[in-house]
Amino acid sequence: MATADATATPSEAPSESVFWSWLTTVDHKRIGILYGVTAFSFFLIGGLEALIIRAQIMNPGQEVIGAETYNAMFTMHATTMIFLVIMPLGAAFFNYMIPLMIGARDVAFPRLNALSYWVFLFGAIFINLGFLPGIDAPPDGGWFGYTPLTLREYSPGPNIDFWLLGLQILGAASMMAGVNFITTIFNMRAPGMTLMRMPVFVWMVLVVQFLVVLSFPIITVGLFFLMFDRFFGTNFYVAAGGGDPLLFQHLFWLFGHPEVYILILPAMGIVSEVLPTFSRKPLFGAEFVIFSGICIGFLGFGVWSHHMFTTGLGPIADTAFSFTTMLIAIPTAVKIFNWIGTMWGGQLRFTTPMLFAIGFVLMFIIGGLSGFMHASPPIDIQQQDTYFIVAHIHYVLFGGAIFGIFSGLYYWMPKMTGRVMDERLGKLHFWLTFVAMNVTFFPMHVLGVEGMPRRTWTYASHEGWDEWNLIASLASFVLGAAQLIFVYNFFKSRTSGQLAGNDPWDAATLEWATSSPPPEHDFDREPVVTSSRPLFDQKYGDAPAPEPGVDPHIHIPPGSIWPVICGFGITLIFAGIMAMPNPLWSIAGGLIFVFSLFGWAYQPGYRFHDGGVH
Amino acid sequence: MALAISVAALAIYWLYYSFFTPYTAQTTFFPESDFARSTHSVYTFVNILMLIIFVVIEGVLVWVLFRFRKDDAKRGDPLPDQVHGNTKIEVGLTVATTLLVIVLFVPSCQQIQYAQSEGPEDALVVEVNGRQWWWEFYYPEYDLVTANEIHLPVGRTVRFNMTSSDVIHAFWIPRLGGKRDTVPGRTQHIWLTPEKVGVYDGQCAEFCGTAHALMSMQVIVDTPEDFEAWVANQKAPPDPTLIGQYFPTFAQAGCIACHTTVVNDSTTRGPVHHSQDWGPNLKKVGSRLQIASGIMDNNLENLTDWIGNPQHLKPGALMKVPAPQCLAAGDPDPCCTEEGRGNCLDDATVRTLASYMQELN
Repeated sequence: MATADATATPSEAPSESVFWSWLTTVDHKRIGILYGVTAFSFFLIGGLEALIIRAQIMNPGQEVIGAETYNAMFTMHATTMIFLVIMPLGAAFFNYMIPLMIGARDVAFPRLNALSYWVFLFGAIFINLGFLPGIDAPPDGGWFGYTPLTLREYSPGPNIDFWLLGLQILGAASMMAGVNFITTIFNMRAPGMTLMRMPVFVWMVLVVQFLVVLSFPIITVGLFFLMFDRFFGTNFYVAAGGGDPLLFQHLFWLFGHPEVYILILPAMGIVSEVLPTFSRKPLFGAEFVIFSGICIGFLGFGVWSHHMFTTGLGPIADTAFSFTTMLIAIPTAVKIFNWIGTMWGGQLRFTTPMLFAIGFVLMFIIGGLSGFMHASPPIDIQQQDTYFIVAHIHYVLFGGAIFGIFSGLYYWMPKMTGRVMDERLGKLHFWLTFVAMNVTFFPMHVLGVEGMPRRTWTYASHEGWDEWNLIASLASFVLGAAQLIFVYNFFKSRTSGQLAGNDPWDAATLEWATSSPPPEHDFDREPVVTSSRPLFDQKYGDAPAPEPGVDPHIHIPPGSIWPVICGFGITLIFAGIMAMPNPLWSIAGGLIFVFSLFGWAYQPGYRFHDGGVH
Repeated sequence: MALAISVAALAIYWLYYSFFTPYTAQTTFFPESDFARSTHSVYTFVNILMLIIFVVIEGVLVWVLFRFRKDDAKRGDPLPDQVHGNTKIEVGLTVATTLLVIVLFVPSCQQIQYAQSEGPEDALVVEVNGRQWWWEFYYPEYDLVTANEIHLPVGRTVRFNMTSSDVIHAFWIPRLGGKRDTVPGRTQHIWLTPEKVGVYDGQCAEFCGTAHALMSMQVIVDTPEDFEAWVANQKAPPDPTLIGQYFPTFAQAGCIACHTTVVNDSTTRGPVHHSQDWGPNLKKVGSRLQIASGIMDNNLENLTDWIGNPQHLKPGALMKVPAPQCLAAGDPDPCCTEEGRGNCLDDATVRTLASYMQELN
């Protein structure tokens, strides 16, 4: 396949510097890259926090860091990995790949897309501000921030304020992106791409965006209540004032459980793309995979109280939530059967993305089985808040979500950079990660049933938890070091990797039909779709190849600085609450926000790809 | 191949620890009450089924990887059968999974009906109050307040009624039962019948702030005779010579602001809500196995260390004793130069207090 005609790449206005062009970009691919680079940086930071945690509890009675620092570390490790790593790494793929996979030129609202990124970035920085030496007040109430511990009475410092306001900012970013992607997927598909012909990854993203749009308002309300309790003396969560501390847990988990699926469904989608490609077969039972994904999305809203079996909800609630939780095992098992069915009878190529996809399935089964165990209240009340749960979430989120994301990174990196990542380094990365991950997290199951509670900064030697903690800690250092191989591989392959061409993996979906990296307008000709595997049909079937040359009527939006300004205004509205009862900072943020909307509204919406604005 | 070895290693490890988990003080294995046995039997049943499912599914998956591996497959090679799915297999597996879910659900349901019922009416009631970062216990039957250590008669059902005066904690004695969160503004319960004499460790399981890791407790299951003797000792009036010898120091040092050493009836329980300045009842502190909520053995040396500088042993501990001259100045802080140190007592006073604590047995 020939790479794209060089003249097809539209020229930026010559006066723009590189920095300015990234600052004002509204190109979904560039925003995807921004999301990816930012989130991967936080992956390294969050990983470092994890290693500090493991260093502290490597041996009993140690004091590498103090109790308060430890509490901040586990709070920010979880907050970082969930909100600043897995979600935005997913967003990186959504941004870069969704328009390509559905044959579109961009997302529905390109400037809103840029706004999502800038709000995310500002929020991510804000939530970490507490680490600064002069402030020295990192969030330390757990990523779940249970009241009353997070009320002003028990957490007087600004620690929790950074956390709760930061999450509000990040939530705004996620919801904007959610609306954008739902609109994009429903409205921007290429001719012939019916919903059932969409790649399964796109389907999973669609489900995720609905989860985002429906679940983030719930945590927003929960955090607003907390904000009012902390800043303005209300009593939403104060038992003595007629409030209810458990209300926060209900609101948090009513968001928090769909959030788990927000984290895992994109990885499931990635694996559903990678396994067929490297098995040279279509996805087995694609309809079942899609509907089971939708089913998981629906059920995800009906299971939140399984996080609260120990709060004493009563036998009826425990039974009901136990049952709905166990029901989720069914669509999840369906997915696993279909992935195995996809590989059955195929021609399996063990490339790095394939290895990570296989690793995902292997590890996710373990996370699923342990998850099923604590869907049972009798089992859960012994395991809840022990290392058994730590093991479970890491099998789901590391063995699951992160493996899926690495699979996607190795799989799509050639599309993004034009070069294939080094396979030998990739396989080394996979094997070190796979082995170190299991040695780190599997023994935590045993520590859990041996009664080791989580979120404890120290333990006594006579408890009998020494050996497995030592082994887990040592393995975690290997696991951390292994991720640097990926970083090295990325920089090495970006300049000297093998050239990818349009379609390095012999894949079936539309993103591989354009050049690597794609031109700003994505496709020279709008693709026409007749099945769920449009590119496969062109190569192995009888679908016609697209006409050569570039469509002369392409128009794409010009860059805009307004999303950055607007994002700054939104961030300042929330950050300014720290100064309460002085409202001036928030008001200033509001003014910047409104001002930027005018600038935004009066800016021309698109330009033709030749650079002219019409 | 390496994947197959990894999966086999995980399965063997899992199998081994399903049956040969070594004894540890807080293990959830080795249950010694009806409650803990009921949860453990559900665990055992589900765990074995999960292990079997693990071996079967991962086994098939690994077999598929061996059987269908073809690393030299190239673009343009003849394609394998392009199977899009098989509705019969899909429906069959879905139904099979559903049946399995129901089989797994039933024992959980039964346990919930048993363990979450109201329990027998003649149970020994123990009221539990979770505090930052210690436990207060009250026996209404004996009008007896104690802290961080519960004694129970073997074979008699006990009902724990729980609440909290500050943040949420979780009451958990793995070998006997739990866990149940202690939530401010609510009272909830579990009941269980300890079946074997012994000492059982428990620990707060819900993150509750700085010293969460150091919030333990001991449950001592006694024979009925030993239990009666324990109650009688706890309720015995204080020794006047002991009080005469030590109490002035205790009062002068400021300890009486939060602690009492002469009574342990219901009048010494703190207010229900919002009080930082109310500490463990010390009337019989010398009789307890451990101090500082289960983090150290109860002996003179540890008591001296603890009273001298609690925050050093338990970061975040709320025990703060301003020295008399600080109290006079109205601001305790300048007197405590060491960072984080709450107690500003001279060594002689600390030693006297430690001796007092030990003799309160």
